[in-house]
Amino acid sequence: MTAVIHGADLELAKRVLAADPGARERFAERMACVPKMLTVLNARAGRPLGPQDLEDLAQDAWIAVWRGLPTFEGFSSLESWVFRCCHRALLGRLRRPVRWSAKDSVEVPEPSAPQTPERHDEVHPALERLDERSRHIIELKHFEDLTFEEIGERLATSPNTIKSWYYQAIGDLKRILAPTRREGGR
Amino acid sequence: MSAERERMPDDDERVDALREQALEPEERDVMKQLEQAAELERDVLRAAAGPATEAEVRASRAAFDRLWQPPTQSTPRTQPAPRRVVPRLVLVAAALVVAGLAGWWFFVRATPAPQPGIVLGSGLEILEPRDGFEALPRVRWQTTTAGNPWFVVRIVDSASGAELLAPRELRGSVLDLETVDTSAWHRIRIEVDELDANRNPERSASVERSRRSP
Repeated sequence: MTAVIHGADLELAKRVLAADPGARERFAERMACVPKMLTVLNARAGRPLGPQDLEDLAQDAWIAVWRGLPTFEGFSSLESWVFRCCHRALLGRLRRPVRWSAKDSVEVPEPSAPQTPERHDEVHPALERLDERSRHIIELKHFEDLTFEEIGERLATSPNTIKSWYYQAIGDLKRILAPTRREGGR
Repeated sequence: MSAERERMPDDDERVDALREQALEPEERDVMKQLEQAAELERDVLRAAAGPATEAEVRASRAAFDRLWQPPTQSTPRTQPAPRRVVPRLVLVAAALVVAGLAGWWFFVRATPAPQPGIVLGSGLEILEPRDGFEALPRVRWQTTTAGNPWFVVRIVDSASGAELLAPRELRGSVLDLETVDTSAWHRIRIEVDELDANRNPERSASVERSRRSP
């Protein structure tokens, strides 16, 4: 499949992984968006984390970005891909049931963390469980906002075939998300 | 008529419409979740799109600088195998050398150096007098030969070679000198020959001794 639509970002990622100093400098500058993304995500979640927690979380997210960079394929912009790393990091942090306070060694529950995350929070982990073709079609359709015709052009496939693959992918996602749906319905 | 035809959906659109109608509620729900997730992503990207502050750029650079540092000092346990082999071999070699030297030194020390003047026949050794002498009551020796071999003992003056005591043939290992006047003997050489069955010298030992000053 040749659906890379953010070739410049993919090239940058490759050069960063190849230890190109100039590319690394540019990459580090672009990754300065991480604290801002986390701040926005935290605000939308009802500000469960304080400033110090957000700083710690930014460090975790940068580590996740660096570790996951070899998997970046250029199907989305670098920032979109980084957003998903940040989103995953935040959800992971909020789902931690308790944390240890370094000062007094007393178990402290996370302050005002939402106990039931938004249902669409499950979408990205579920997408990662799809096969490569289905995941790319869903990402291009929903997150890159392309039409079936545009996706067909990028994948050198007829729009009808793309539609067929898309609905098949939706069926697969439904099955993956079914347990979550049942838990949410209780 | 042609306008009416234009408003008519084509085959693809009809198929799409049928497909949409055929979607299960759960599948519609999945599509809704996808839209919500995409909307969230777009919102956050829009909100975070402004230029980063100096502090954010600094923090990002610092974080990645740490991540990009070569792992030299921090994790020596994960990949040290090739480095450890060489010192280990050096240690083993050094231990072998030290052990060899220690063994050699032990054996050199453990083997008594022959005293000056004592010639040991193999298995024949003069035991007395051990050092210098004041009185000389006897000469004593020992042999490793089994049975009771014969010996010939003679004592000569070391300086001149003159015979002080005529050769004596004995079967024991002691020559008694109690009855011999040895007061004029100052520097002597004691010679002992062990004889074989044919009375021929088989091995010999000799030792030089001096009278101690009174």
